Amino acid sequence: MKTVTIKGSVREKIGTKHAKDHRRKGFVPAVIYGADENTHIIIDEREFNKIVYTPDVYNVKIDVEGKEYSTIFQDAQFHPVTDDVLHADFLMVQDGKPVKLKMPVKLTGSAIGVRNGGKLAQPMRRVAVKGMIDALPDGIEIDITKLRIGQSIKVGTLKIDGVEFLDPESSVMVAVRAARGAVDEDLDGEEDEEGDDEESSEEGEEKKEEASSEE
Amino acid sequence: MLQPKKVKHRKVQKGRIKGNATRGAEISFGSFGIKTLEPARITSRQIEAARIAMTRYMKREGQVWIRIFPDTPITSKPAEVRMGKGKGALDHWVAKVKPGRILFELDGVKQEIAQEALRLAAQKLPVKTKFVVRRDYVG
Repeated sequence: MKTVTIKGSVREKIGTKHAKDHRRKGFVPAVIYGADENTHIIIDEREFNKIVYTPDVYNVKIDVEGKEYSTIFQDAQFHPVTDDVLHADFLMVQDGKPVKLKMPVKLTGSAIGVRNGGKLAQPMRRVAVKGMIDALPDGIEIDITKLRIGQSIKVGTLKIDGVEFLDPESSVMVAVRAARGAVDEDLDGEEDEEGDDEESSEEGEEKKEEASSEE
Repeated sequence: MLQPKKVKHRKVQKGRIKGNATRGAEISFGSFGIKTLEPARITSRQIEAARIAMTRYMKREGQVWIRIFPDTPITSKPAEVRMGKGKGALDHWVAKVKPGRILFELDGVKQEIAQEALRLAAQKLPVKTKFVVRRDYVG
């Protein structure tokens, strides 16, 4: 998993009034929990560009006045109109304890179904996983090259060492759906073509017979 | 046009729209959207006009989500009628929106196309709006 380091400082006075003061000065109140005691901190709002506006998940190392905390970015609150970060939660990573987080799903390759005119649907952009922080990959990569129209990849089919998937096994992660003008090409397309020819030739003969009987 | 199938009360009082949106202020389905910066009553006609403007520009590509629903009945009295004699008849339906509310969402098209489609949609609405992109969107 990728690592990013951000700087913070201890928030001595907590509460709405002081939190508003910090926001006015360009800092975001945050909390680190998961250890015995919670640590209230403030972080420069520009630091959040690294961890909020990205699909990637990071192991966030927070340097609080010389003391480093290894955390994961758990949650954030945003202003409904301005979309500024109002508050952030960081969960401390403890040695020997697995963490739960939502990993980004990355698709690789170009699906056969899409080339035939199907529509790629990705209902799940993130998937909930559990595992040791060192064992977790940067993202869940799914190869969709062999996906045909009407086929899908479900959570149950994914297997990565050291990663436990928490979403229901039947959840569809990516699918190729039929669209207007889509052509469903089969591997045994040649046989079908032959079959079509036979049918068409039979039809032709029937038509000829009908025409002759009318005469 | 959008309107409820059935309602508990046929007519409601006017009320006031106070505060910011606490729900429906985040992009949930698509990658792009517009959010209102003002409180307003958006009529079902305005929603439909905005939807048509958007889908026309997108040439039936991509997908559109309408995140508001006009569930508030608005009444009006006929022209040249004296005051009194009870509340007027149902005239149209509106969606009451608070600042921050996501109005429309889009996906399946490029950002430039989505931005222009939503600009055209915003022109049909009685509010100032802002174009928003999903936070983890990668172009």
